[in-house]
Parts: sequence; C-alpha cells; structure tokens
Amino acid sequence: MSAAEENPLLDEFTRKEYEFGFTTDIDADKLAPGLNEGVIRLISAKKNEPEWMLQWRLDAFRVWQGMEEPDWAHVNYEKPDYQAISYYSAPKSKVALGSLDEVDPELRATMDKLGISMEEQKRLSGVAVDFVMDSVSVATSFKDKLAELGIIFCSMSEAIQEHPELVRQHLGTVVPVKDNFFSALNSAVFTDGSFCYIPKGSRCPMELSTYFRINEAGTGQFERTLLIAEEGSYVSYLEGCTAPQRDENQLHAAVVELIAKDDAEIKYSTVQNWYPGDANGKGGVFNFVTKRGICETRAKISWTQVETGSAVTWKYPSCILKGDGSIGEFYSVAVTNNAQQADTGTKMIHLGANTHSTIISKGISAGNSQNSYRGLVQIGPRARNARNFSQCDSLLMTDTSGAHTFPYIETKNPTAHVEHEATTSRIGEDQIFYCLQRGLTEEQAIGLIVNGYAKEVLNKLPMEFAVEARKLLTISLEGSVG
Amino acid sequence: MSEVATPTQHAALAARVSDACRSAGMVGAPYPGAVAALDTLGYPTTRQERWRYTRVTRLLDVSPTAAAPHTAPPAVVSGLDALRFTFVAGQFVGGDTLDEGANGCFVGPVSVALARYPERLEAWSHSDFATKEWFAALQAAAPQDGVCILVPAGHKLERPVLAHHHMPAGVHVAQPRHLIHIGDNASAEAVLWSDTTAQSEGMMNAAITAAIGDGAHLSLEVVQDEPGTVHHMGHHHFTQGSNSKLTVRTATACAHWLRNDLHILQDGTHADSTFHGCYLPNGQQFVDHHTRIDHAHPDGQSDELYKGLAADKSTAVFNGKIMVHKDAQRIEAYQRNSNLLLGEQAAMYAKPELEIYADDVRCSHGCTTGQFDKEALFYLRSRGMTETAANNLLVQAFLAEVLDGFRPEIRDYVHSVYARRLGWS
Repeated sequence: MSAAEENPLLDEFTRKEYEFGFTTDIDADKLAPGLNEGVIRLISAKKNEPEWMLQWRLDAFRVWQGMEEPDWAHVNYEKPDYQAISYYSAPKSKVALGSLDEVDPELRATMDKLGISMEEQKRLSGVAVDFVMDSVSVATSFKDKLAELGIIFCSMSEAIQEHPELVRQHLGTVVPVKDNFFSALNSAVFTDGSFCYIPKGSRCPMELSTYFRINEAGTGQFERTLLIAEEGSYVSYLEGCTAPQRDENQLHAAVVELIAKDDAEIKYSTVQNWYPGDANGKGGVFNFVTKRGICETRAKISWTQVETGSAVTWKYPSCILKGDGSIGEFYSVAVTNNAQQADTGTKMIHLGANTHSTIISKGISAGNSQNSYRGLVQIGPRARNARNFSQCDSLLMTDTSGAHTFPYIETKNPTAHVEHEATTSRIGEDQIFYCLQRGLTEEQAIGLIVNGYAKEVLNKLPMEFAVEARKLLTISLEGSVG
Repeated sequence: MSEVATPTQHAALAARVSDACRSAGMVGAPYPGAVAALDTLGYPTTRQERWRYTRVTRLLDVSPTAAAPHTAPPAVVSGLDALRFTFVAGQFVGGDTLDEGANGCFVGPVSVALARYPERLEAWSHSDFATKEWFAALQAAAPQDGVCILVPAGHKLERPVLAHHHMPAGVHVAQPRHLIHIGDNASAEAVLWSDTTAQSEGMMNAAITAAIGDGAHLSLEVVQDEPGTVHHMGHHHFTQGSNSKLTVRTATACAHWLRNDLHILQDGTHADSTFHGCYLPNGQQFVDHHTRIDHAHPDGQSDELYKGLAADKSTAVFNGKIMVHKDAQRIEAYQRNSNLLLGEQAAMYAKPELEIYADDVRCSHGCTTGQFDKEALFYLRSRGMTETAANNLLVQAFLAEVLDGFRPEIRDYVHSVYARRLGWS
C-alpha cells in the first residue's frame, strides 16, 4: 500500500501548494542586476536623497566589499550571487495619492488577496497600515490621526526627506554598518522600510503595522526599519510577511533598529510567512535579518515572533540592556517543514544594573527540516543583579527532521542570576490518540497540541496577529506527523 | 579578541615539543596522520567555535628545558589499595606490572604493553582526533608513556588501578598516553591522577583512549591537581559497545590553565554513560571543560553533570554537546551545568548544546549561573559558624552532587584542596 493510500490526508496536505503564492503584474521600474558604486548612486538619486545619505551608503558598500558571508549558522544553502540581484524595483505609478481609491486597482486586488482590506482595516481594527510593495511605500493610512499626537509613522524614504535630522541622528546607532555582512549590504542598498517616532510621554493609540511583500522576480528586498520611542512613550509595532511563489531563491536582508529611551516601551511583533520553497527545498526566500533594540534606563523592549516561512532563516532579534533597570523579552515560535532551515534566537546583552531578560523559544520541526535555536545571554561586569531566564523547547514531528539548541551564556558579574533550560521531545502519540478518541481529526489534534505548546508565545501577540498566527501554525504543520 | 599564530610560530612549537619528547623518550611510533595534520590543521584561534573562549597563543611560548629527573614523587591517596603506577614527565618510573599472559589481564606502562602485546593494541588505540585537533595531533606525533589497562572478555579486574603522572619542577613538556581496553562483559576501575609541583611550568598534553566492549563496565576517576603554571590539554576519548556502562568523573582540583576535551561515542545500542565533573578556578586561573557525547545507536542513556565555582579573576568555561544521530531513537540524555561566581572579576562562559536528528528522544539540558544563597549564609552565621566555615560548608554542599560519586579518599582530598586554595580550611 502506498503512502498516499495509507494516509490520504497526509498526502493531500504534503502536496498542498503555498497558499499565498501569486504574483501581481504591475510594470516595475527595475534596475539591471549587479552591485557597484554606480548602482548605489542611482538608488540614492532615484530616491532624491541628500548627500550625507549617499556617503553613508557608499561607506557601507566599501565595508561590505571587505567582508565575508558568515557560515557559522547551522544552515546549508547555496550562497546567493550578489551580482545577479537587482537592487531596486519600484511600482511605476508614483502619483501622490490622496485616498485609497486612487491606488492601482491591481495593487488593491493583491492587498485583498493578502487579506488586508484597507477600508476594513481602517474602519474596524483601528490599525494604521504602511503597505510596502517591493521597495516603495504606496499607501499609508491613519497618518493624520497619528500626526495629531506628534507621532511620525512613514516610509523610510519619506523620513529621509522630511525628518533628516532624526534619521541622521539615529540610523546605524543600534546596528552599526560593520555589524555583519548582511547589515553592511543592507546599509548600502536599502530601498525603503518604515520609520516611526513616538514623542516624549505619548502612548501610541493603535497598533502600527506594516506588510512587506517581495513581488518582482529576482529582486532582493532590503528594508530598513527605524523605530524611536522617546522618554516614557509606548508603541506596539506589527510586521507581517507573505511572499509569492518563486523558483529562484529570493534574498531578504532587512535591518530593524529599535531605540527605547528612558522609561519607554516597544513591543515588536512579527509573523513571518515568506515562501518556504517546495517540498524538495527548491526556491524559497533567504531571510537574513538583523534586528536589534537598545534600552535606556527602565526601558523595555519585547520581541515576539512567529516564524513559519522562508527556505533559510538567519535571524536573532536582540536587546542591548544599556540602562539600569531595563527589560528585554524574546518570545518565539519557529516552525520548519519540508526542507526549511532555521537558525534563529536572540541576544540579551546586559550592561546596566538590575536588568532583566526573559527568553521563551519554541521550535517545531517537521518534514526534513532543521530548526536551531541560537541565543546569547551576556552579563557584563557592571551589570549588578542582572537576571535572565531562558527556556528553549523543541518539538519533533518526524524522524527526518532535526532540532538543535546552541545557547551561549557569558557571565562576568558575580551577582547575576542566569538560568537556562531546554528540552527536546516528540509530539505525544498519547495526546493525539486522546484527541482522536474524542472525535477530532488528526489535523485538528495536531493544531490543538501545537497551539497549546506555543501558547506562551502566541499569548504575547496582539489580538489581530494571534488569530493569524494560530491559523498559520496549523496550516504549516498539516499532515506533517511522521 | 582573536589572535592568530603565524605558521612558523606553531610549527616551531610543534618542533620544540616533539624534540623534547623524543629526547626524553617516546613510546611507540608517531601516529601516521598526526604529523601531516600538524601542518594542515593550523593552530586553534578564538575565531573557531571550539576555541572561542580558549586562548592558546600563550602556549606558543612554551620552551622546555633539559629532560626531567626521574625520581618518584610521594604517593597520592596512600590509603587506597590499588595497582599503582607512577610516571614523571611522560616516563615510567615505578609500579608492579600485572601480566597474566596473552589471554589474561595486563596492567602496566604502555611501553611494556607495546613490547609484549603490540597486536592487542593495534585495532583501537588511536582515535580520529589525532588528525582533527591540532593539540591531539601534537600528542600523537610524539606520544609518551602512560598506563595501559587490557582486560580480556569476561574478566573482572579485582583491584582498582591508580596511575599517577607527575610533572617535576622546571619547564617541561609531557605527552603521556593512557590506553584502556575493556573486553566484552569485562569490568575495571581506574584512577588517573595528574599533579605537579608548585614550581612546575610548561605543558602537559595528555591523551586517554578507551574502548569498552559489549556489556563491559568501566569506572574512571580523573583527578587534576596542578598547582604550578603548567598548561594542561586533555584529550579523553571513549568508545562504548552495546549494553556497556561507562562512568567518568573528573575533578579539577587545581589548574593554572586547563582544557579538557571529553568525547564519548556510544557505538552500540543500550549504552549507558555517566560523566560528572567539578572545577574551582581562583586567582587568574583558567579552566575549560568541553564535552561531547554521540548517541549513534538507539536506546542509549547519558547523564552529564558539571558543577563549578569561579573565584577572584578566574575564568571557567563549560561547553557540553549532546549529539543524537539520525535513527538513534529512544535516547534519554540529560545534561546539567551549574556555576557559582564568587569573584567580582570572575567570568563564566557556558554553552550547553543539543543537536538532535531523531524524533523519539527525551533530551534536556539545564544551565545556571548564580552565587551563594545569602539566606543560607546568614542562617549558618546565626548558628555561630564563622564566615569561612559557612562558605566552606556551602561549597561542600554545592559540589557534593559531583564529589560524592568519587571514592571517599579522593572526595576528601579534592575538597581539602579547594578549601586550602580559597583559604577556608
């Protein structure tokens, strides 16, 4: 009896195509592949950037040229040819838009397919959406409402034009150009991204969110996000990704910088569902992201991520706990299926006294995938009474997948309390049996168990995302029990 | 922070060490691949993951002087009834060889074993590491004398073996090689003791290679008590057959600069490994324990426990890896590492790793770093104990989980060394 006959459900779901795999035909203003100083000058010129920005990019490019692509992560992939990538692509219709009706109808349809109805978003959920199609932000809503509070929420290109002093002061201060290979590349060629500034003492009244989408074939996407929360302010930021199906690998090397000044709080949530490649690992997005936040005195940064997509993930959202009494949190669910590979985790750098950090990481491996947690907890010599708790659990669904844990714990202060624990186990057959016996299907049972397993993390997501994330987890793992 | 040695620097070190070992007396031929590996491998740097926290550039300056005087040091744990063998700087200086003939037990120096029973050593006595790690290659390129324990299938070695390796005063290099082979369903117990004088300098680059047959049992206690400024590299490799049981307990009583690489390969089903260790560096000392267990076959078990304290300006490193290979189902592997930081400028680097390629496993690791419980200290003080006595008791309690597994003589000795070094006795 063949596997398909034995388990028709499993067969159906393992052959299931990527749900969000579609492309939009819009004429794009696109550069020929290749990277050199000319390309960077062109990107900068197209975006009408000031001279200091161009110089910054060129410096980054020179640094990048002297760097080597890192290979320490527990992932195996064919390194992209950086000269075969087009570094700029923008939808052509760039008329200033006053209302949503003026948006290209095809673009509107894409948004609808993605499930983002701008009107609905506006009317019902109170979410301001900055929609990035390829590299240029095409529609921004709720801006006026935010402007009343002095909150700036716009695309990076717009911020460079309209708030150059803020960008210049903060850009690259958390993730320096030289930080790593991908941050240097991003600094040289980033085309757009989001910029957010929350003034002193204000509390952002709505969840800010951005949907990114790689659209044009063969174009890399290099977003740059900068989020500044002034003293005593609060903001919750959501980032969600889906990408269309492609046969060639697409590179995504983003940089996210968060700055939480004294007593500020930033909550940054991500649902990542880039195209993971087909069942044999063909195609799929390379997700090489540098995300880092810096906390001043009593500030708090909380990263929450649900990672279900990408062929290769290389991502370590980190917190530098610089100020006394600052808090860093990291909650992550990473699901890998088929031939996906993920090496993800966090870094908690304790520099100030009485700093606290919490790490909860839940990995789920299915198919032939490899899922690694890699995390650093560093307690500096001056970080008195620092406290860290880390918990990294792995759930294995098949005997062909792998789950790995690589924690680094570096303590240089005798008053520190650092705890780390990790477990690896298989999805419980008795649990599945119990659910089946109660009349649930196998799919429902797995969905229930996995959602329960990841509950600690999912509960940290804002309401709008939690629903989507739960759905994603179940979809990603359907038919994956070996 | 990484420092890279130039090829000429480490080639010169290799030449100095090999020459010194050769002139003092080598035992057996260099391992064929090792000499070539010294060139191809390159000297470890902090850029390499396995050497991230361990700087070995300081070893480049090791320059051994004239051969060591071969006088036997005073006996250690004299109360212990054992087959005793003493080595000084890689040379055999005393002990009664037990030789029951070609089919019986043999316990004696490797030099004698090689002369009498070369065929009994052939198949298993070299590990791959001689071609994979620079310092292991250096050791294998100029091996010196150590203890050899050969227990044929079905035999039980009645008395424990105590091999004592001593580094005399002065700048010396020693590369002892200890070989242990336990046949199917056989068993043995051994203590490998290494010590130095307070005036000893140089390098101790020691290897232990052990093969444990199906259903066999080996219990090994490793004690490292080296008050001088000797740099110690340990390469401890164990291969286990089906249903075998291995217990390795390592006590680093005192070490100026020490790196232990412990590697266990479970090469059969239902193997059981226990490996515990403790360390307590103070002053500017550096202690690094790297462990790795490979569960290559189903139904294996392992239990790892390393506990340590870092005082003053010392640095302690723990890196433990549990590797579960594909199809090695139903593995139960536990690892725990607990550390106390006592010094304002002490540092602790821990990296407990899990690498798992099979799904029906139960693996976990836990790692903590903290300090003495102030309430416990207060409680003891309030009962009239001095601060010294209270600290001493708390250290004893903290390390008891590891030290209680040793023989009482060794446990008491190691604890007395700790207490004396920290001024708590």
